[in-house]
Amino acid sequence: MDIQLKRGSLDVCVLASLLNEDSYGYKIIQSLDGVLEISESTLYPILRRLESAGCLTSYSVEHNGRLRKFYSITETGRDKIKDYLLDFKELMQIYEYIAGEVKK
Amino acid sequence: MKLDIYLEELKRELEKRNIAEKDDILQYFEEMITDREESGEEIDSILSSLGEPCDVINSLYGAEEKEESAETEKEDTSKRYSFADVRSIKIENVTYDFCFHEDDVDEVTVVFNDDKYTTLNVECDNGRLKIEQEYAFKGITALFSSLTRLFSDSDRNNMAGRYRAEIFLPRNARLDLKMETVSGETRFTDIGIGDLKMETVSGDLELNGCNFDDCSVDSVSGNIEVHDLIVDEKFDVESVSGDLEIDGIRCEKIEIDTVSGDAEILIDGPKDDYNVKISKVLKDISTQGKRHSYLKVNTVSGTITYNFTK
Repeated sequence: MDIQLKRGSLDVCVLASLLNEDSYGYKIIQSLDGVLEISESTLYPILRRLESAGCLTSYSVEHNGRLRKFYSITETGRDKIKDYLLDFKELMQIYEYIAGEVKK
Repeated sequence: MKLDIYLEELKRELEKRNIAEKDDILQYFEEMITDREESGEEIDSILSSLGEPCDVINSLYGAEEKEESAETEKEDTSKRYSFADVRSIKIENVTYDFCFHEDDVDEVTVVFNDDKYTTLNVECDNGRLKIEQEYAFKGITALFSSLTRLFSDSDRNNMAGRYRAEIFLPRNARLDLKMETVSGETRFTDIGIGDLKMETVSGDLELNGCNFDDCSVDSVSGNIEVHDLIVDEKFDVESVSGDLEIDGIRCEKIEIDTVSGDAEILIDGPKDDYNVKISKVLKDISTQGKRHSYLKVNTVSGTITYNFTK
């Protein structure tokens, strides 16, 4: 897959995993299991990038005597998902046209 | 215990590489490994899947660097414009080095690399292409650029890699070109143009294997170098202190004025029935033959050398 397309998709997938509830690193990887393969080393820079872009915020919660970092999606992050879906809709139209021409 | 040893090793690697976000990374991996343990995975299996601490950091920063380099590749600062049916080009330039070529293109194509400080505006209206350099500190930059050139002249013989703006013209388009430049150098290579009017302050001009209807060049201190030039009508050069080197020129009429620039001129020999007579070095050259030819050279203090070949 094109690196830019893949990178954009990974970012949006991570954001989407936070749409319904705040989540933490391990759980994010678990929720994306079966959708795309993502390692701890891949997730860390994505979370940092999204946080510095204002797409998510983080806070720590005590869990079993240690701190667990939770991530929460922001309005900017939600807008990013909307933009991605719109872009992808256009991309799908292009895909259908190309696939149709290939079939002819 | 194994977790502590692993984290200690990870910490040492982070410190060795002087990574500022060391604590964030340690906290992140400690949380990840502990969460995986809590979910029932064996510590050996977890650490083995993560890899050696140095590999973790390599892959962490490798991933970021790869992404950054992909982003850099995407941010290509070169710009390309193409225009059909261009009849004339007007360029108001300050510092850009321009190179003109003829190529197998249907449209006039302008390619330049922008940078942080300057911008070229390109617009085409009714067949008239205009390229203008926006520059906030025109005078200062021109002066600085001229001074820089005075002290760093070593690459003058290797001009090919230094041009930042290139213009490709369709073959035999013979459009007219008017160009003003302050310190940017200009080169024309194997190109045919209608009328060329060129004004330069300190930027050098080089014409190689070109063919013009009419050619007029004004220079303050920019040097002018001409090789194998054919001008159907008049070749007119005025220079204050810019040197002139003209090697192989054919035209109906040449006028060269220089105040203190040195001039070396080699003119292609007359054809049959064509005679050239030089009366005095610093005065007119009279010719006679089937075709009329005219050469006039004025100088105040420059040295002029004529070489007529047969």
